[in-house]
Amino acid sequence: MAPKRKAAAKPASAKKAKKPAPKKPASPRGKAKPAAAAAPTQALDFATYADPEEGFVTFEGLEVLADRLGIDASSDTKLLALCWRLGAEKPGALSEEEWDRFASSPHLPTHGKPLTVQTLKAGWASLDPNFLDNAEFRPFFKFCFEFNREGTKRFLERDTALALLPLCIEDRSKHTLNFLEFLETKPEDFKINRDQWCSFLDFSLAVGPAPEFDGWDSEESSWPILIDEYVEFVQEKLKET
Amino acid sequence: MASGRKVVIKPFRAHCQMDKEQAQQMWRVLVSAVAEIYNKNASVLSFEELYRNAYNLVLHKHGDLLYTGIQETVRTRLRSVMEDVIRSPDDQLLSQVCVQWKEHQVTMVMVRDILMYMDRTYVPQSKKMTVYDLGLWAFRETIVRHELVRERLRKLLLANIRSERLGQLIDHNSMRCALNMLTELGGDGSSIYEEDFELFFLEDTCRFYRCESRLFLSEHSCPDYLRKIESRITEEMKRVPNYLHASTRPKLKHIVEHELISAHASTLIGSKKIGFSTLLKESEYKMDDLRRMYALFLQAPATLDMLRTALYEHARTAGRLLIIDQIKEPIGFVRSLLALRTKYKKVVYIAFQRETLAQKKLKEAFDSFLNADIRCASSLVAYIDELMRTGFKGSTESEVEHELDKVIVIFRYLQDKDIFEVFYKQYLAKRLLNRRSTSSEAERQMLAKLKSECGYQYTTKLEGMLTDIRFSRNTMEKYAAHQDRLPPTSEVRSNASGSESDTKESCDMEVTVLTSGYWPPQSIVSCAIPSHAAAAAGDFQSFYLEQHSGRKLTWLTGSGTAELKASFSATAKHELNVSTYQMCILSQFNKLNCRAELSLQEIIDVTKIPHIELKRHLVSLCTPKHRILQKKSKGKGLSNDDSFQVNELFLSKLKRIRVPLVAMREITPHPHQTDHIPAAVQEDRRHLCEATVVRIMKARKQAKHNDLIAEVTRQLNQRFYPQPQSIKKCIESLLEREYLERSSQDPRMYIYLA
Repeated sequence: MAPKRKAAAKPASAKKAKKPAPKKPASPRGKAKPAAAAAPTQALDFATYADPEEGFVTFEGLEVLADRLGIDASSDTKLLALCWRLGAEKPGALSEEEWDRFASSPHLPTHGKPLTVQTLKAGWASLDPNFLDNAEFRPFFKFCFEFNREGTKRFLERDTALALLPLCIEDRSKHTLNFLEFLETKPEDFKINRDQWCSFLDFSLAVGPAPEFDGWDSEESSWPILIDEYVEFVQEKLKET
Repeated sequence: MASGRKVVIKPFRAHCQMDKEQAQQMWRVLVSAVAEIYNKNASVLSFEELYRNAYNLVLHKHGDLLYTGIQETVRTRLRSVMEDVIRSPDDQLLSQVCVQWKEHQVTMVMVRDILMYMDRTYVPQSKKMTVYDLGLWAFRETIVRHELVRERLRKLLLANIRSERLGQLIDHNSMRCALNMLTELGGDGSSIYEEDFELFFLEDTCRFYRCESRLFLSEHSCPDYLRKIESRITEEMKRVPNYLHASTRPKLKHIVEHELISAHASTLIGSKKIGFSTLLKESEYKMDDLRRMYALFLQAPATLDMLRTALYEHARTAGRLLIIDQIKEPIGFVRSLLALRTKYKKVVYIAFQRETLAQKKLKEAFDSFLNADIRCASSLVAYIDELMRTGFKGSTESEVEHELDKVIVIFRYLQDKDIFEVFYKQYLAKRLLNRRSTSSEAERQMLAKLKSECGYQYTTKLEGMLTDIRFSRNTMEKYAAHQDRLPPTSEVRSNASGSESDTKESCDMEVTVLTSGYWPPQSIVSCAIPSHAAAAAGDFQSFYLEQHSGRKLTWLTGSGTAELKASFSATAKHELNVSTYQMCILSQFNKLNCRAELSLQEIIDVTKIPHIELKRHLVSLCTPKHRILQKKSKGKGLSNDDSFQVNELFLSKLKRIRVPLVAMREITPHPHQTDHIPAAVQEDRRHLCEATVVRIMKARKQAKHNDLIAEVTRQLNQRFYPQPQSIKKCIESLLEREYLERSSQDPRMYIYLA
């Protein structure tokens, strides 16, 4: 789900979910994919998509599902929202228990309806995170971080974050472009931790855009130091122009 | 026997009516009496008669007549006086006025006495002025405020004051009289004194002093100026009791202070013509001037702040310059620092009269420059080291006490006490291990003082070091006793010319056992020590471990010294005091023949001494002064394929030679050259900071960001000042490790995760 900017992706350990290589342009529909022409009444059952060795639905399985739904797995956040609603606890993996929530979770379009790809596809748009208000969005945003980690690591690689952040936050933040520019100045092995990730959202909601940065108090800032550096970065940049 | 008949006493009615004619008659009597009074002929009059006349007049309702009559009389009289006064020339005007005033007073008193009944009855009834007041009013309007008198009089008064200021003598009596007159003439709402005189006087004073001060200051130095204004102020204040009214005093004081002191305060402080700053420089000799300056500024309290700030600036600049100048020479630096402090303390005590605010400012100045540069802390440590090694030789206990007190004074200013501790530990370790300390009592005293400043935790490790030394000595005594009980072993002296060594040899060894936690970290790379040393070490180790089972001993071959008896030839026998490594190197030559060479590589292989250290110790044995070994390569350094042999031609006048180690720049820069915080201290601070954050959060369960920072700072302040940014880093690290989390309602609030 986290498209890497550079093709040189670093697979962490053996149990790795395959990640799609270069970022595909986001166009959910209209892609001529042969697999999409599968039977519309295909069942949404765990066995079809799960990796038999691992016993989980991994990124591979999700890609298959994405194909059948006719969406781009690397850029459609509704897929992430789906995993969130299913309550995925492990990064990049869905257990059978979690899969079963297709039927039980009221947030999903398959609730109370037949468990088919068709149903899911029909109600796909309802999963759009844009419908969430800020309070509901926060846990989703945190989930985006959690789900895209590698295994038990507590951080995201810089490039992963660079691709994932704009995708997830969409237009809720006026700082996105600047922040991405700022992140690019960091070295390649730079890592973002959970606190920094979540604080970015809180920061975007609390502090106005450059150059005023309304609501920003440099003296008593309790934001993570990364955010402090970001503000300084933008202020420096503006001074030069 | 009064029965039924009341006795009634009727008032004596004399003339029940007084007619106009009679009244006039009485009045005429009075008029002529008043005229006599004016002519200073009062003695011919009968007071009783006149009083009675007036009394009767008023009684018979002729008060009007009396009142208007007297009014007219007074006025007429004063008018004629006025004619005289106007005509008098300037130099007599003042005395004339005074004379007239005095006469007027006297006559009016007499007239008033005569007309007292009228004053008491008629006047209040008809709401008119009393006789005396009437006289005053008349005098004022007729004479004093006469256009030909008023201004002239005032000008004269002011001119007099002016001449007195310029050094001439004037008649105080007439001045006092005139001013009293003005005071008395006031009332009914207006103050003649203030309007006609005081206002102008103050203005004049203001102008006069403004001019004079400016002129004087431009031509003279500040101390001279201070002396002048001191005398001026005294003079002005004397003027008040001399002839001015007391109410003028505060106003006069204010003006004088303002014009003389406040207006020129900044000049006085900053001027190059021996202003305050310059005075401070030579405070030893200029204490009087400084004291005068403070006393004067004390009278205009607003200027005192400027003075204190100037003191602060001066001290701070001097301190900064001192650092730039002398920090490279730590001992000299500290001495100069102490001298600087004494100097400023004297200024504060004597010139500033021990004022607390000035003391505070001085402390702030020292705080600021001493904490701007870390080398101050290490310099202080170096200074103490010097004292302990050599400075205290032959000092009495009270002298030691005195010196250490001075040291503690500087210590108090330091903010980063943990840096001091690290350096102190290093120096103390060196002193103790090399037995360089003059007196262990002095060491103990120093630690006691540090303990009372910073609490016992600060000095536990240091005290531990001292205790280690003491215990080691005890252990050695026990060991010696233990050795004595053993069967004697053959002792063979090791010598450099290589004779066969016996298998059962040993050597005398003195061991100092260090508790690893207390001492600064030492490198624990061991080398291969020669057999006799190893044997002695082994003996000691088994002895020690018997006494203290469960402990582990590690030999620190990087430290320590050895005494070798060396025979270079039949005649040249010396005792060499060398390091342990050098002993290892040299004993390699024992096994070989006289001329044999050892290559560098061979030495490395056999002794296993780390390369850098080996180079240093080897080079020290090849220096021109102590050429114990000869090396193949020329020059100061060693080449990798160098080889060495014993220098048979070694000569020295001394029997006992101490071989010093050459300094190698790469190894450890001398502590007082670094001007950034040692890594160990930074690490230490990070741990302390995190531990403090966790402790606080555990107690509070949740805390806001600012409160947390404030509390952490407060708790750590005794040891060092934690920058808010570093505290923030610690918090973030703890967030990442899930000791804390941010509250979801308020990102500024942290919650403790159990």
